Amino acid sequence: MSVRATGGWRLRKNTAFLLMVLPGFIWLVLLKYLPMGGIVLAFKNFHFARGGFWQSLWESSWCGLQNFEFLFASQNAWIITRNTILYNLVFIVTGTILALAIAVALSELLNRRLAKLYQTCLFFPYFLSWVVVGYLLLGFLSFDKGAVNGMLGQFGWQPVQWYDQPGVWPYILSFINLWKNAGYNAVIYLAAIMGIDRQYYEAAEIDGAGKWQQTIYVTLPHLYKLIIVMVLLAVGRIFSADFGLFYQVPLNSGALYPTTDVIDTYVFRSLMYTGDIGMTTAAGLYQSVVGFILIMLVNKVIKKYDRESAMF
Amino acid sequence: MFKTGRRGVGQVSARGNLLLNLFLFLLSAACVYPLLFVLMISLSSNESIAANGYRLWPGQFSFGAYQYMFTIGQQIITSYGVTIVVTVAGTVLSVLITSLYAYAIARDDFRYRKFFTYLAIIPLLFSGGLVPFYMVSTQLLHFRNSLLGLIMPLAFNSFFIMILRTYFRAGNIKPLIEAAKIDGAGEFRIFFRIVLPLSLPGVATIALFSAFAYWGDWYNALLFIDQPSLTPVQAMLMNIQSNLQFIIQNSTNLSAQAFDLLRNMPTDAARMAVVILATVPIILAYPFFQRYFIRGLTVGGVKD
Amino acid sequence: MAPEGLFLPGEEVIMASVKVEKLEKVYPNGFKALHGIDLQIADGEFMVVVGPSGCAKSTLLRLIAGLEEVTSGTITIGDRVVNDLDPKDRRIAMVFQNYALYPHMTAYENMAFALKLAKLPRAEIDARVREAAAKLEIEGLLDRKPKDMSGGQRQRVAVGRAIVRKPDVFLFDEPLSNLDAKLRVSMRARLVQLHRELKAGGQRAAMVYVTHDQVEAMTMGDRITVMKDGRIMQTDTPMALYERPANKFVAGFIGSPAMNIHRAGLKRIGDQVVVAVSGQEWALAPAQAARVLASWPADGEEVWFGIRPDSIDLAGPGGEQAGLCGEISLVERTGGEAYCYFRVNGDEYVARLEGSRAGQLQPGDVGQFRVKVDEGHVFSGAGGTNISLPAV
Ligand SMILES: Nc1ncnc2c1ncn2[C@@H]1O[C@H](COP(=O)(O)OP(=O)(O)O)[C@@H](O)[C@H]1O
Ligand SMILES: [Mg+2]
Repeated sequence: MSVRATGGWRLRKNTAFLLMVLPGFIWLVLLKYLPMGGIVLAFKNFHFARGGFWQSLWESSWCGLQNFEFLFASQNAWIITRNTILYNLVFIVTGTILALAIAVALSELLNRRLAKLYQTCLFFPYFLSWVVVGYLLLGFLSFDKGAVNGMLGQFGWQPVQWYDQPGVWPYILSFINLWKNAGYNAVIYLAAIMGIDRQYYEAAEIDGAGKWQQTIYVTLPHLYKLIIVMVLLAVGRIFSADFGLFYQVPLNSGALYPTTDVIDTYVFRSLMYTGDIGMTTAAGLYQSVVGFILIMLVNKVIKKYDRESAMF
Repeated sequence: MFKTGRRGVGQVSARGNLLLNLFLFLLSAACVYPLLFVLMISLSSNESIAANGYRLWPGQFSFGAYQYMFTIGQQIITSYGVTIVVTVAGTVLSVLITSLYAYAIARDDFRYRKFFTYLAIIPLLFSGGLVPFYMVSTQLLHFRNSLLGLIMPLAFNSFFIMILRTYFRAGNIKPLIEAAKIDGAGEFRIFFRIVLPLSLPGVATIALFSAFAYWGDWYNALLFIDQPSLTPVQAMLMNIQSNLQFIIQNSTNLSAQAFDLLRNMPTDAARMAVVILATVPIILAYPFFQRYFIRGLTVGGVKD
Repeated sequence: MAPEGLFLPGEEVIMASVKVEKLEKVYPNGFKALHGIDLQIADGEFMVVVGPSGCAKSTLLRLIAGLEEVTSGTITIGDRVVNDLDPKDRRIAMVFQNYALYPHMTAYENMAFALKLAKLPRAEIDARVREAAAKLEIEGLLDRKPKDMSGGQRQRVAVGRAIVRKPDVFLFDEPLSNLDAKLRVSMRARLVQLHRELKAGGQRAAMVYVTHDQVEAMTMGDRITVMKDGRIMQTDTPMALYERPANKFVAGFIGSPAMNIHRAGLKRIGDQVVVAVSGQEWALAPAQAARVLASWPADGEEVWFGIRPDSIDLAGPGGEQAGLCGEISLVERTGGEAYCYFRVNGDEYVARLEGSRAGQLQPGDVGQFRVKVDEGHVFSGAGGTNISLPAV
């Protein structure tokens, strides 16, 4: 008689694992998947009524794509989309270049101790919260006491109301983004550089390549794949912005919205202050859907380019 | 002949090294300087700020801001308490939830591992957006003005799952799991007695990421908290941007002396002092744990 | 039912300790690793499973251990079918190739782990660990962690971890393959001795020992199971395998240097059977000829003729015997004996010679060899079955 592994044994084996995933499963369902169902709000004419949220949700009428029409009819949709994408593009280009420069410089430094110290300093801003970063910037840009206006004053120039000047903020925010994140990205590139076999450099050295040429012909080609993948991943996220950067750093100053408002801050403010739930949900859904499509496209491209690095 | 400029094999020249040093030094200084600046502001006297604005070297040093914090800054104590409770409880909880989940889907013999892997990955790709999340959190889960609102949203993280999974799938772990099975250990015991101790670097990485995330979190407080007694440090920092009163409105017994202090409140220095107080733990902890962060960044991919 | 073939030298027929019947294993990816294995291992027997890498030796062992799910068939340990039992309930212990010692525990803790889980009293645990440590001479290592031990020491701790559990069956998966050659030889002897001591101490545990090394198999096993591609080729005592290989695979796998096996033709001349190999024609001995005749292949079908290097010697002055003559390509001298490689009609042969007889043979010389044809084997051309084997 041949005895097969019974269902009972299988289940007993899996029970422990099912128990292990249970807390995470509950979390995922409550905080991720249930909200995904909440996107019905985008297609409803939602108003808080008596009887609380759930009853309001139940009783509010369907309105098709009206919320989206409303969103795209306003100037806002265009501004926040443009801002989000432009900022991200600038961040990707400048961030990659600076991170690479830092990584190469760190890897070539003769004194390893110093390299460690520099790295520690450069990585540090990444760990500060955006609230703190907002304060640090305020120390420089405060109208009456800030260091920048103080300096302008010494040259006899008029102080500037920085938090009222939308025109300069694209530069400021791009700079702050670099300041906070370049070290983080550099660490990733540095790890890859450290993984390059020293023999390539020795071979190049024997072939008469100088250090600069070694960087161009040995280091960068080895990083090529990683750079492409990192850039593509960033492109996949181009439709979402770092809320903290755009909310905390400009101190949520209304005068700056034309140049600092991105999809995430817009959605947040609409939720908190306007109460137009349907339209706000629509804006968030618009972001999610486009973001999803982008990520899928990017993953496809990466897969074609380098199977190993694809996300899934 | 002289020897300058001769470099060792594969090394930059002395001049190149100098240039690199200069480049990195300037960048490093730029990274550290702002915090130093804020520290000095917090140590400036009221008068010197009024007269000269913020200066790296204040005309007059003063510990007034800190003194002030500790005499009537009841809120600071409260907020620190909230942040510490949230950070400790949240980190323990998230490490537990995440590592158990990651371990189960790292095991080849878990029948439903594919399903649960996808379940964890999908939220990285698509989300319902802020509004539905907010509605579920406040209407169904009652996160409003609850510590749960500060702890739960960060308690699980799909990236952590992917990082941990690589540790749990490491080649040296599998035979030990089998040895433990033969020794008669159940799955939970295998996990807690064998796998977890051996994956300590990975778990420590996750714990640190998690602890730093909780410590620096202001977003969930922005969404869910408006009670001063539940406001964590970062959110308090946010609140005092517009209104330093926040620090004292929570103090119950304002003596005449305290009112006096309040009148002469070193507004700017005090704000910056809170910034310093909120950041000090990170400054102290970060350099020691740096390598864990770096390791965390360089392992783990979503792919199977 | 009395299990057949369990008649061990000097012992009575005994209960099978491990019985594997029609065992099949298909991995989740669809790969069929085991094709219906039948195997019985007696109480107290040292069974070596040998075969080339990838022949599913480990798979078999892991199925017995309960680390993999059985696809079909049964595994019985003692008198229980264990298919659906957890490893811990099978009364087995296993020693892994890489030892799988818990790196964060000391040797003592490693050995005590299973006993603690089984909730044995502390004193009992301590006694067992110390007894095993004494047996393996690792008392001095008990407080060390694996990273502070040499390969051989780790290996012994791994064996100790198995011993303390007093299992019915020991499972070894290539436990010596990570040791250097010298240590491997001495550990080989130790393990055999350990088996004997356990038996003498009344612990009649069966050992199932997996290896790809036929020398290990020959020197350690009471019996040997030869596997190939998920099938059992033959199970028998070492000498029987050597002298009566059931098929061409076993003949080629067991023994070093390997048996000389070449394409051959068979001719029947009256009662005589003549084998034509490498341009020579040799008459088989009468008994051999009779057996070959009994399973005569289709006319004209080619067969294989195999002759061990021991059965080839330098030709004496006589020269009336079956002989080979070829140019010597290599002589390997190990001192006591020499392996002499030569080529006849394009077929490569090796002969094992006594060191003194190898004399001053040089590559390039033409050597005259005589062949003890009656020690040879005839394998069928298609299946490779040994058709010159005496019926058991
Ligand atoms: N988990 C598995 N999934 C699929 N195939 C496997 C698995 N484990 C082993 N195999 C395959 O089964 C065959 C036998 O493997 P194994 O038992 O490890 O061989 P051995 O120990 O004799 O070298 C090999 O071809 C191997 O590739
Ligand atoms: Mg094997």
